[in-house]
Amino acid sequence: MLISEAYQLTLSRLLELGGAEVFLSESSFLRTITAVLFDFCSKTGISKNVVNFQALYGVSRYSINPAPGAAPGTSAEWGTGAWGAAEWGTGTVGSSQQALFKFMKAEHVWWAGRYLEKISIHDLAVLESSWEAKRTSPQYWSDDAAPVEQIDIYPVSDKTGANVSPSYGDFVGSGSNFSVLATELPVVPALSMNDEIPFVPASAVQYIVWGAIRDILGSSSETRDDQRAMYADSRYREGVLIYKTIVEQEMGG
Amino acid sequence: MPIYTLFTLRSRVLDLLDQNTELYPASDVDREINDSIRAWNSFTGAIVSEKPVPGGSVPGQVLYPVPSGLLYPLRISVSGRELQRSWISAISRTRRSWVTERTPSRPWLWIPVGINKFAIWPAIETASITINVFGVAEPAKLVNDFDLIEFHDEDADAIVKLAAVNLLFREGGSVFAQASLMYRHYLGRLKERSRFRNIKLPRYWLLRKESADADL
Repeated sequence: MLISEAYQLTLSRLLELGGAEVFLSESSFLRTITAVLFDFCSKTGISKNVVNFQALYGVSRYSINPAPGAAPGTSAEWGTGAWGAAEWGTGTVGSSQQALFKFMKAEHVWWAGRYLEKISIHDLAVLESSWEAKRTSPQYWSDDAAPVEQIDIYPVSDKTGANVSPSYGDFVGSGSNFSVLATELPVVPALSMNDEIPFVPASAVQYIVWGAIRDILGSSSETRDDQRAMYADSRYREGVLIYKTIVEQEMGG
Repeated sequence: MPIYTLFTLRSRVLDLLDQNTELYPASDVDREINDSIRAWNSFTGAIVSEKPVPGGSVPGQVLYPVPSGLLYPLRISVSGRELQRSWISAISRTRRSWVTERTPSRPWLWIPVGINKFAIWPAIETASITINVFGVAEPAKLVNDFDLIEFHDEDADAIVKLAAVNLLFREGGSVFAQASLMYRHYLGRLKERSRFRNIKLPRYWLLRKESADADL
């Protein structure tokens, strides 16, 4: 479903076709539905992807949203690369191939194609008292002490990986670089009214629309309607619950 | 199992809307029926299908997208041979470099990655080997009056009621409030039919003012 179609559906449900701009502009709706989509994807973990980026000698902390062409370890404001047209068959989204998702939280990490165990800083200190000084092949990762969207690697790498731009969609095991699997989230400025609603399957789009309606009716404006907002909220939560359950129980988390 | 046409389902929804086709044109009713079927199927997983990965295997590729038209995968087969399912944590404990391992044509495991991707182990070195994905499908959209779908009667009843509530939403006030209690019926049926036995569903109730209005 295009975002413009979701806009029309929302107006239809609110019986506000014609004169809609008075209370719900397209730009306002775009902000609302993107925020709902962000919330839905982060709560359900419905869409995951792999990012590969360069390892650097002696560097322990890395952003999982690496900036293309910048020094490894520095963050982009959002991820880049071709977004999931192959997954959902919706074609190119937006006016270019750039910047449609970012990663929220690392779930699994590989170095040179080798799986790294997640470990807490406390356990690491117990396991290896001189871990901070050690330089060899990475074995563990942690996000205990790292800022959001970043990870720490132990021991720090004793070599610099092949010089590559961040890549997405599959593992690149060669070149002593990192691969991170994480939940992907939409980037607010990248979506327009002519885009498909990304990341969620057709069956889940209705829940995104109900989430937007909840926010519109639950706001403190003259559109406020508590009963209808409660119904919209129930429908939205119904969607979050089922897709979170599918991800956790059928897809292994 | 009984078979329903779109025409029948639409008629039953309109019965709950006093046959008001001016306020509720057929296109709107049909859209809500289709959305309600999709919601129901997300919980029950009753509609399943098998689809090939377009183009088959790509040499060395570990991650594959779930083919369009499938909601999430349940089984994967390669060249007609079903793979066993594993999880990232499980395979990574025993084979730490599994993402770099290759086979000419016979992988053993598949691993779900979110709902729209899956990994295979070992990755196939040969191009264009057939990979089929069996899974819960996106329901085909009912478009024409005599498009068909199979339901238990109780499921059809729940779907009709959900579609009606979604349409009555535009009326607001006590009309919607009273009608919205049908949503509880839908939730009750979902609880019985969900493929996930322990799933907790949202609670829905009437606010005091709307409740009083609805009683009038």
